[in-house]
Amino acid sequence: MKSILTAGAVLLAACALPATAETVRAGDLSIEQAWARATIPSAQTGAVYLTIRNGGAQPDRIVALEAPVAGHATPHETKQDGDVLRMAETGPLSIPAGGALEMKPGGTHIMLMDLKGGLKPGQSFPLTVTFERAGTLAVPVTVGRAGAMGPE
Amino acid sequence: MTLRHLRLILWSAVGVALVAGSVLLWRASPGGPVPATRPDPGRPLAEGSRWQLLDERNQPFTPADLPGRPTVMVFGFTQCPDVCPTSLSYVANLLRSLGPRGEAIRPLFLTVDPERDTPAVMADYTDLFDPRIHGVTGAPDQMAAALKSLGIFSRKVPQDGGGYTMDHSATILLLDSSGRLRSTLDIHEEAEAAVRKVERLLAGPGAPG
Repeated sequence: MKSILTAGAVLLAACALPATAETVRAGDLSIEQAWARATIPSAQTGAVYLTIRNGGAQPDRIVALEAPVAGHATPHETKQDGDVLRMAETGPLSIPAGGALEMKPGGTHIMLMDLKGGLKPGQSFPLTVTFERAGTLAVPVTVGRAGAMGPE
Repeated sequence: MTLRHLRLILWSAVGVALVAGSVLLWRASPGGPVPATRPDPGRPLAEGSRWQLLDERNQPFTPADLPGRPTVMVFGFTQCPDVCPTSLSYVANLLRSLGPRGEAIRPLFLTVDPERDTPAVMADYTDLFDPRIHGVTGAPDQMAAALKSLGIFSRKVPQDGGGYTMDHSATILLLDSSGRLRSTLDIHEEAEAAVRKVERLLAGPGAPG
């Protein structure tokens, strides 16, 4: 019975997700344009991009990330060192007071690992982001084409 | 101690500091990710090399297959979620900008991660961006030999939690129909500049540029 209730709650949550990227607010933070790229069905990895603005006087930082489509989600950064591209995990990402954290292709992104069945264009899923100060919130992520360079 | 002695001691100290500084700088520099050999632009790329890869349809792909058509070569791997889709998207947009002229181009995506990228995976992955882009993979030793002869660097980097990622060269190679390396592209170049470079490839091996 409990599992049916849980499934129902997840279904309701899924239906409540808007079809397009929207702004989500928590305290002084606003999160915009959360999007991901489609992958092949067997893909193990994916990337999510979003922009977080901090209207407050205190910096905040991301302490945890979670998505039901992936085993785990961690902040990563691509760096070009001469001709060589490197990708590595970053530490906790900060959002400066009165500033913004902008993620985009070729830079900072949230890497989804151990994807469960890949990501399809048009799909959406919640990304649960826990901030040190602003608390936890679910950000709806919409999946664009594999070659998308921004939210579609 | 005379002034001359003092000067000698001071200059010796400067000398020691310079040598020590150079050694420290040399040791601190990131470990040689630069390709050992720059391809000779006057000769067909990978001329004299012997390797055999597989294209996404399981057909052999060897140095003898490099000439024939103007070729755009991108390097990456399918488990790379950020920059490889960006590179392939850049090439797909380039093909779209070229319109019907783009049909003469052969766009190839060569993996730097042959252990995980099978021909079938490469086919599915490249089709996400443009069905004209063909994937190329192969046995790890063959792939390593091919990348070396093409002047492409790659290195496996273990990640926390057991998996690995790949560091690799970002350069996109542009080969003319005689298989000579004519130019390179960087995904930060404006689309118009990229189109002009590819148009020069299409003009043929004898054309300037």
